Amino acid sequence: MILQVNNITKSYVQTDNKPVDVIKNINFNVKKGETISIVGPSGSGKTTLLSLIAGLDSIDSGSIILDGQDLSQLSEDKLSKYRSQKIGIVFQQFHLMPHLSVKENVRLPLEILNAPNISERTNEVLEQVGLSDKKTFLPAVLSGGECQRVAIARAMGIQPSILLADEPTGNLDNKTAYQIEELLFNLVESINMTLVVVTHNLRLANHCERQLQLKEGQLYENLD
Amino acid sequence: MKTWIKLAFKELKNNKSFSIFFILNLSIGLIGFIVLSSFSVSLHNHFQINLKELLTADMVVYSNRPLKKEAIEIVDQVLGPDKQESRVITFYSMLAHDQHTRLAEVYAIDSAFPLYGQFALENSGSDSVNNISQKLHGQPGAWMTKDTAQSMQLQIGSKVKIGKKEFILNDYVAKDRLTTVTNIGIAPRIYVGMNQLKDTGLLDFGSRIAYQRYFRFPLNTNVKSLITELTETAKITFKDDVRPFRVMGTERVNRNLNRIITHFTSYMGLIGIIALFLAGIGAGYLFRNYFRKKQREIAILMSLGASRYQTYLVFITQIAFLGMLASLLSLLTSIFFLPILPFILRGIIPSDLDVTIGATIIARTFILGALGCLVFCIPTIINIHRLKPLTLLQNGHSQTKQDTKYSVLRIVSFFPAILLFWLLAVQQTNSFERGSIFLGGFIGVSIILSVFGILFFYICKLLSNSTNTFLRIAFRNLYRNKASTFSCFIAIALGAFLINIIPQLQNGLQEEISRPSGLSLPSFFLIDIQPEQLEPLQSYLKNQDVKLSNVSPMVVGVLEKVNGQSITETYHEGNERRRNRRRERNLSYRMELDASERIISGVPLTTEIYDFETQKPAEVSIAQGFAEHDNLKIDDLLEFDVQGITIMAKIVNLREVRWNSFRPNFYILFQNGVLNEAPKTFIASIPKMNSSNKSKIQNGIVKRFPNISMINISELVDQILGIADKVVFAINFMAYLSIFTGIMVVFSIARYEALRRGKEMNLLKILGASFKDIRSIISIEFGFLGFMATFFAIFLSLAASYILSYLFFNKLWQLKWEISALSLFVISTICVITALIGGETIIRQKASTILQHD
Repeated sequence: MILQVNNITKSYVQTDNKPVDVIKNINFNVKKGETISIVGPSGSGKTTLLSLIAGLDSIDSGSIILDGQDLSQLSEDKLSKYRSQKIGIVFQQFHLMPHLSVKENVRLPLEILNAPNISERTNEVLEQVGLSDKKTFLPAVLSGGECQRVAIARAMGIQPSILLADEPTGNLDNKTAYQIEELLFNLVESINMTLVVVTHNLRLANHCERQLQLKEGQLYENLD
Repeated sequence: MKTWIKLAFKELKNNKSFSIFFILNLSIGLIGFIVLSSFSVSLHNHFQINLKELLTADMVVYSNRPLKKEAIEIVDQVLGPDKQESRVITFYSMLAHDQHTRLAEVYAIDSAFPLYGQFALENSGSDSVNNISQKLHGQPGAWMTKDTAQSMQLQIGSKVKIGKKEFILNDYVAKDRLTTVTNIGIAPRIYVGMNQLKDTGLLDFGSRIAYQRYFRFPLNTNVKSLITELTETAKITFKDDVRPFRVMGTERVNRNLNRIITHFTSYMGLIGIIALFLAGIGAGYLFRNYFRKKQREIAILMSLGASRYQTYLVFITQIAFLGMLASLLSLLTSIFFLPILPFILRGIIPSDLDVTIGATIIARTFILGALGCLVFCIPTIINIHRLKPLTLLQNGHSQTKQDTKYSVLRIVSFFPAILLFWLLAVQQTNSFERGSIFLGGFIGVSIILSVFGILFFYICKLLSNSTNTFLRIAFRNLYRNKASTFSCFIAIALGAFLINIIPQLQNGLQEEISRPSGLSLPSFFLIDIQPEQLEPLQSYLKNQDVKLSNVSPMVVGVLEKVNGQSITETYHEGNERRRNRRRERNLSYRMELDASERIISGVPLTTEIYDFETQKPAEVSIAQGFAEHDNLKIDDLLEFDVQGITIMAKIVNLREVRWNSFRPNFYILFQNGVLNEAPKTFIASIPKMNSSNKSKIQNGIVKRFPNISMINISELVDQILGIADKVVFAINFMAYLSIFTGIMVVFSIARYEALRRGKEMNLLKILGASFKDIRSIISIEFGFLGFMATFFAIFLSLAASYILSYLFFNKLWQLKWEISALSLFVISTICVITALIGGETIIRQKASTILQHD
């Protein structure tokens, strides 16, 4: 198993000081190379679950074991380091560094990781997403689809153990969304990468091997 | 590491306007620091290099009477044979030439003077030994500067009378080492030969004369230990007597000069620190907004695996780099400001002073630039601590928990700035105590201004209910943008406070010096009047319709013991205030107190004539300042030695004396009958008279009573006020620099606010508001902000100046409303103009342009 989510809970304190349970005793495992989707209505806790898997937020109880490492046992700095080696994230809003060129954005996580052959790897991944000719462009002049390609390239550059995607097509029109979806799955399948995608998009969800549904903080196998 | 530094620089490059304004803000604040430090260090170095030439020797032994044989033997024995010696006698006397007279300091020198340096004479070059032998000793010659000669219409060959003897001015002193330190003094100097002095008749009893012996030793002699040995030997040998001489080395000169420089520069330095603080506020504000913009990017970095340390590194690199650039810019700009202080202070600093920026100052500027801006940005940087990449998934709406650790960190984050500020204040004042008081005062003023700031918000809130749309928008902008409004308010108010408090304090003091309330300044102050001259002098003046006032006898005595305890010889320099020195004091007695003095505690001296038969202690009155200085109080029993006779006295009252009245006043006044028979001289004053009469009376007295010295009070007051003006101008220069820094802060904030509100402004334009309307909103906003900040600052400066005057300057306070009114108008106007300039880029943009950016 590449990912083991064991009985995790997460609650947030609201303004009236009452805790609200967002994630309630969730358990699931993901095998290496498996693609799974997590769907659910707004406010069901999808993004929170993704942030917990990514180690961006901490769980209240339970454990998340990624590639044999219990994330709750890592300090914040070690978690950052671990994330830079093992996890790739693709955001709905792309979140590119506006003042860095396409190439520089893709290089950044490799530089953080101090990876070898950064230039070669950058070129390779840019080739894969079809942006070799726009290496020097700034994000401001790219279309939404192109921005998401850069974000995917950035996430894939480090060859993570798991790729987490939060509504990767949520900000794109249908046609572009389809193209991005195809690109994402082709890349993942080509290197047998594990993918966890959080989405509203049923087509995207169904593209995955396995579908999970989140309802009021609880997880159910298969879609309704 | 390389990645982060590269990223830091890239970000700066892409945020040019932030970088430029950050650098400009900080560099203006640093200019004052550099200019003042360079001035202070250059002055110190100038004195250090010229120390021996200033003293003209390695050591001086001096006394107010000729050294007795025994004392000379001790000096010779301790200092050994391997020395060069020069002797000088100095005293004040009147010079007379035709119808011109004036007070001068007579320097009677031997041919070995000076032991270091040389006299530069305009006509005879600088061969001191030959010149002195031929021109001063071989004949009754005299030297003075050309300026002094011209003031008495003297030319080469003119005769000038000192006492009973006529001297011939045979050369001008071109460069007088002794006057290159400062031109401040009661009177200019005249040089004569020592062997010509006897016939002047001025070396008799009653004249204040200093007998000085200058010594120069071979190179590598330990002069310091010689001074200690000579002082100790004299102390042991003359245990029960008044010390027959005092000893001074270059170290003492240096210490005295250092003290003057420190006093002189420390106040300006403190204002310089405030300028730096204001610059820090501006830089801190700009960084806060830059950081806010960058939060999302920090979160991205973190989501990509960057650690907090690495994100801290990015910002610290940026700030330190910008600080360095600001330092560089300020160093370059300072070159243009360097000549300003010497120009303002010309006449009271050495004329050949060369102000340069030394390597130490350059290094200190870079450290201060980098460190200074860093400490002001720490409260913002620590936000990284609670920033979570999770915000990226929440579309910027992070749910932050109450974090005690963060709250503590936030409070602690302000300490480095306070610590740096305190260290700078201690360094500038050279005193832990004064530095701490300044910091305390500054924090106090800042707190009060902050309270005014809160009051200002309430006023804005009230006014924001106005029915006028633009007024409502303007006041709501002020009220709702608390951080920027508050930063602006404090920056303007602190600058305005400084600008107002200095002239306000100066005004009271100036008024009191030139026109002490309830007293009229005399025209002349007369000293060294011999008892037998008193009656003829009075009758001469009576014939001229002038009255000799405040005639006061002066008897020299030594305070031996206080309450049976011998006065110790312990003498502390520096900040130590208590000095118990066994030394000669001028004593007097009078039937009734002068208008310039009043009893503040105790009872008046008895009017009964003291009866020596009773063996009871006589009554004495002590001046308050002297009592505080020597730790004396009412009922203390004092033992005096007056010309060999022991006199016991008890303190019955303490007096407050207004020394600025320029009337004869004394620290110690005796009961009538105690000193009446002691050898004495008199001092007196001549009341105010018109200038033509003044010259006539002065010439008449000098002609008839050549030994009497006359100090022209109006000239002295003019000189004091002239010096005060220059010092105040120099201090004000630093204050203007502070307000300029404040204005730069206002400009930066106004500009940023305009940019930040670009969307809002364009929306107003789309809704039909014209450029003029938007300018009106900006004008109302910043005009009101400037006006209210200055108004509150004026109010506080008046209160603070009154309290300071009350506590430290004898309640000398007088409202100078013109400066307050002017500053209110000027600062408000400047605020409006800077804000309009700052917002002009956005105002001129088309609404659609901005919408495209959204």
